[in-house]
Amino acid sequence: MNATLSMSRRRLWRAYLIDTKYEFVRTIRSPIVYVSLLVMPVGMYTFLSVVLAGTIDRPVDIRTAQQAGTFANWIVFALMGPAMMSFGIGVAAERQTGVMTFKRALPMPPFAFLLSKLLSVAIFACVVIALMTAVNVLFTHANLTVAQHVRLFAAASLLVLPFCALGLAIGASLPVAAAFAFANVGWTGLAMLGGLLFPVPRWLAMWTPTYYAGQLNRAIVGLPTDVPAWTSVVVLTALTVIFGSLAINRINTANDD
Amino acid sequence: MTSHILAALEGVHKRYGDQIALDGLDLEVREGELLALLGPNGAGKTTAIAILLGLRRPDAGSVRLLGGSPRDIANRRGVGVMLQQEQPMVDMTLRELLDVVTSYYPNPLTPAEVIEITRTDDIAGRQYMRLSGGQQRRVQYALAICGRPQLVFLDEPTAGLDVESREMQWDTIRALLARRTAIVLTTHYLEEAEELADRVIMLAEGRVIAHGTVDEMCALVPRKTLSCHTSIGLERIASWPEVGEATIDRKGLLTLVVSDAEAVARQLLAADSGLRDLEVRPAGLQDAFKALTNGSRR
Repeated sequence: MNATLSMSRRRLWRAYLIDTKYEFVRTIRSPIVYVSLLVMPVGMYTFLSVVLAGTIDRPVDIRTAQQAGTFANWIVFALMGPAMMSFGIGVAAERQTGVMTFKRALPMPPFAFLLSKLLSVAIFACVVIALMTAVNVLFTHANLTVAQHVRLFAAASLLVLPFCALGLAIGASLPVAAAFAFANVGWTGLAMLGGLLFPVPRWLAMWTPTYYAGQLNRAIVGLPTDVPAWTSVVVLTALTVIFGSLAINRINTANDD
Repeated sequence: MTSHILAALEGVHKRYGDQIALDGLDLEVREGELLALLGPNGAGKTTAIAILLGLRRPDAGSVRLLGGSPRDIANRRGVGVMLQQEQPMVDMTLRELLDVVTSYYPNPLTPAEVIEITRTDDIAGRQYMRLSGGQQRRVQYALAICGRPQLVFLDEPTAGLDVESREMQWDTIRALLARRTAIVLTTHYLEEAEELADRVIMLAEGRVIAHGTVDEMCALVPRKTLSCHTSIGLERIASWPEVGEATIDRKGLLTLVVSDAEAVARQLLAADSGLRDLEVRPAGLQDAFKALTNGSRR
């Protein structure tokens, strides 16, 4: 009987693509998304790196290094928003309203639920970073090469993973209202503590994932770092695995009760 | 024609904490039949369906869906689902939802076909959250049948629908049955089960308390309903031993639930030569449901 119910690989890919397409469409449908996840980080980055930086007189080489560092850090801040919000609030809402159960009752391809969200977040983050890159190229003295920009995009696509995992842990554990608060506080709190928005003592920043993500991006733009790139990769991979598996396990056991 | 068993529960037990939800439930769903799962709230209907769909694991017993485990995605590709509590993505339109849900099935209907069959063209472009309760049920029904499933689970499919929409839905359900699709229906509208069901299973406290065709279920209740206009006093009639319940409405129509309709009719005609509109009806599913579920509580 199952032979007639098997799916061709082409149809299976199509299912993943359609799921991702609508996940993205749903993300950009909400006005709050534009304001908080797109306008706010791009606007603040523009204000800091263009308007404010233009008022401070510094030697060109220092300004170049500072603006490259700001860009590297703000990319992490910008990608954290969609990652933590989409997974934190999105998963909590879908758990609470029964969408998750509805999808589990359907023959949704394995991992489509998470993969479509993940890809949608990565696409959204790339849109935000593209806008920031435009600002960076047109109005700052960061002077990054095309190869560095490409590497930053590639890294951003992977750097969403630990923050998606963190968001998923929030969404899998808390009701919507609490998840909303935790995801927001987590986003801005971790960004501040990790030294993305202003300098923070290393002994404090090193306990946050944002610190390692920022360090990785600094290495890409050719700035000196406190920790080698592989350390950042190991820490962020470990966090992704730990938070991701805890969250998935929580979702599965809650459903099986 | 041989009827294959498409889904089955065998000796399934499930408890939530101290509360027993299913207590050794056996159940089979056969190709091309509509099985109505009836029972009071808390009888175990929702849990039974959740286990059949692989949404919950049984504590003991076995579950089969299309010849295998319901957790196997290949088996779920033969199943359509309309659940009462669980909603689809509320910020999407029916057209978008159909785009997503049909992509999960190997040989689905096109969205246009589904919209035509379910006559949902008027609401297909509106976000689910902006629809009325009845319109949302129509969307859920469209999503349940869009994958050309062999087996459809319909949990309260007509709750909140107006009479016209309900009858339209019944027509599409009959069309599914004509194509040998099996349907598991839970409903509080017993007339719906009476109208559509090939077999009925009545649950109470996680167990089957009765099962059979609608006629067999009704025959379990040795009572009939008798109505007429008469000048005989209600108290006098209520005192007759064959009469169980006696009521009279505002228009003076007397309705009696009786154990021996012929004997009561003879007595009425003998006592009132002006008696008119005499009608005797067999017990309906509603009567059987009441009698059986009351019996199970005692």
